[in-house]
Amino acid sequence: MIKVNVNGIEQTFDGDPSMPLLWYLRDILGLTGTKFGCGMALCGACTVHRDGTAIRSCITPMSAAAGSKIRTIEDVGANGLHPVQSAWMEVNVPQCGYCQSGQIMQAIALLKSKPHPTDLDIEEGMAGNICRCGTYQRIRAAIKLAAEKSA
Amino acid sequence: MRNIENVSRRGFLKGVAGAGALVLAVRYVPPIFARQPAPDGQTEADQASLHPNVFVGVETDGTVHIVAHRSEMGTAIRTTLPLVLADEMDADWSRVKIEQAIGDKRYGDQNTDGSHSVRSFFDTMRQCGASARWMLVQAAALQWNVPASECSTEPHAVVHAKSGRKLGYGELATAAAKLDVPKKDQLTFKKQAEWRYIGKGKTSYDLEKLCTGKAVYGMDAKIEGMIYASVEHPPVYGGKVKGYDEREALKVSGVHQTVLIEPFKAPAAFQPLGGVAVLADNSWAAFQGRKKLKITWDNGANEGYDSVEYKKELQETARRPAKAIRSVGDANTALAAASAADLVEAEYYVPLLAHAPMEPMVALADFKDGIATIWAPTQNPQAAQAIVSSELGIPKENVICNVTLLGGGFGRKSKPDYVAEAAVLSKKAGRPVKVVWTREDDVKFDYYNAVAGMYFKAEVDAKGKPTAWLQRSVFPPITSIFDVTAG
Repeated sequence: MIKVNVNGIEQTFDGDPSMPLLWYLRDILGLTGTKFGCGMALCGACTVHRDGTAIRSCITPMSAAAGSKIRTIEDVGANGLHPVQSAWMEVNVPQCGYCQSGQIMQAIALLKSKPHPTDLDIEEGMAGNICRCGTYQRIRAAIKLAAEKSA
Repeated sequence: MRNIENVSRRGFLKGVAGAGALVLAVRYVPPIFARQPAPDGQTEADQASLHPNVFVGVETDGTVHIVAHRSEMGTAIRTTLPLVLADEMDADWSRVKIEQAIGDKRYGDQNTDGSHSVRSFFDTMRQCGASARWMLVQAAALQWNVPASECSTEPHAVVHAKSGRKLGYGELATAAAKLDVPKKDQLTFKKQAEWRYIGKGKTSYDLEKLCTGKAVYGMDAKIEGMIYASVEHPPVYGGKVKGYDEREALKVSGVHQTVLIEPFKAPAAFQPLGGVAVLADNSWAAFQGRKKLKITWDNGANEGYDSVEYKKELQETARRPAKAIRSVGDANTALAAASAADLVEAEYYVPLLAHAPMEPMVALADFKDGIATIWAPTQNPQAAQAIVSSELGIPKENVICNVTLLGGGFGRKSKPDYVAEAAVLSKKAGRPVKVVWTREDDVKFDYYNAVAGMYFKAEVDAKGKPTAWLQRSVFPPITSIFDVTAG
C-alpha cells in the first residue's frame, strides 16, 4: 500500500508500484491537467512538483512517489491564479496549450530557486520542456514578468 | 453560392446554438475547395456541399451564442472567427458564448487543414454578423416607427440618436426573429476603422483554462464506464495479424481483454491500421498488457521496403531528365551553354517526417444502440463521421463527433484513423473505449510528410543572380493514401 499526498489530500494506492505517477494522477485520480507527451521524460508536459521540486511524472513510479507531497497544476490555481499563471495570461503565452501545465510547473520551480533568472537561467531551467507551437519567447517574457511582479 | 436564410423560422433550431431566439444560417462553399474536385476517399467536407450552416444565436437575455466550426489546435481560430462575427454584429464580446460545433455538413467545410480558415470564412462570418445586426436594427426601427437609416448600433444595443432611445439586442431578439433574413446586397458592413475587436489583440477565449490545466483535450475526455486501449499495430504498413497469444497479457493487473482489429483494405485512406488492442482499467495497464502480447505477423507487400535503397532510387531518378511540369524559356539550352564556373548544382533529400503534435493520437468512442458518440481531437470531424460510419456500418447521421481541443495537429489530426480505431473497439468491446497512442505509436504510425529527392542546377551571373534554373523533384504522391493506382 503506497501513501501519497496529492494537492493536500492523503491518498492510498494498492496497484502496480511501477505505474508512473502520471497515470495515477490522470487515469485514477482524474487530474488531467498534467499531460502525457512522451512517457520518457523527453518533453516535460507531465511536470509536477514532488516536495516542491519539479519532476517528470511520466517516469516517476508510484514506489518513488510514496510518502511525498505531490502538487499539480490543479492545485496551483485552486485559490486564485498563481502569479506565474497571471503572467502567462498577461503575456498571452499559450497556443495549443498542451505543454503549458508542464511549462508553468517548471517555471514555478525555477523561480523558487532563482527568483530573478537571467535569460540563460531561463534557457537552462526550461530546456527540458518542449513546446511544439514554439511559444518560447513568450514563456521567457512571462517568467521575467512573474519575477518582476513578485520582487 | 451563398444564401443566408432565417432557419429559426424553418424548424432548424433543434440542437443548434442553444435556445437562441434569432438564429442565422449561411450556405457557403469556400472557393478554395469549390474550384477543385476532391480526391477519392476524402470527405463530404472536402466536397463542400451546400447545406445550411448555423453560426449565431441571440437569446432574449442578450446572450449571444456563436458556433466555432473549425478545430482549435493553437491558432486561436475558435476565438478568431466568432470574434469577426461578433465585431460585425456589434455584439459585446463579454456576452458572447462560443460553442464548438460537432461534425456536421450543415457547417460546410470543417476540415481545419491547409491554413485557410480566416481566408475562407472571414467574409462568411462578417455576413452572418451583418445580417444579425441588420435584423436587430430593423426590429428596433419598426418598434420606434422611425426609418432604419436613422438607427445605429453600439455594442449590444440599437440606438436612435435623434430621440435618445436605445434597445438591447436581447430585448429585440424576438421581434428580429420574425423578419426575413436580408439578402447580401441589403447588408452594410462596418468600415475597418469601426472594427472594435478585429486586429485589436483580443486573446483566446480559452486563455484562462489553458493556463490552469482546465482545458479539455482529447487525451482528457472521460465518460462513465470508459475503458482504456493500447494497440499493437502491424510493424509493417499493410501487414496483418497471423495469430496471437493473449495469455500473458491477460495476467497483467487491470487488463480486461484483447481485441483483434482487422487490417485495412487498400487504399488505406482513414481506415484503422489493424492489429491487436489491449483493453484495461487505465492507460498504463493497457501499455503493459500490450508488451506481453505474442503476435505473429504477415508483413505483406511492404516488408522489403528499404529506406536507404528508396533514397537512392529517388535521387537517381532526380538526376535523369523527365517530363517537364513547368517550363519557362529554355533552361536546358542555357545550362548547356553556360561555363562551368557559373554553374551551381545541388541535391537534396528529405526523409519521411512525423508531424509529432504534443498530444499523441487519442480518441474516445461510445457505441450504443446503433449510435456512435465520439470525443476526439480531430481537425476533420466530418471525415471522422464518414470513416466511423463505414467501419461500423451505420449511417453517418448516427455518428456524433464531438471536437475537443487539440494538443497540436499539424495536419496529422485531419486523418481520423485513430478515431475509427476507438469506434471499432467500442463496438467490439460493447462499452466506451478510449484509445491512447504512445509517442512511439505516433512517430511510427504517422501519415508522414512525403520522402523526397531533389536535384537543382542553375546558372548564376556575376552578381549571384540565377539566370537559368532546372529543378527536379521526386516523391511518392500524397494521393496514394486514397488511390492505389496513384503515382
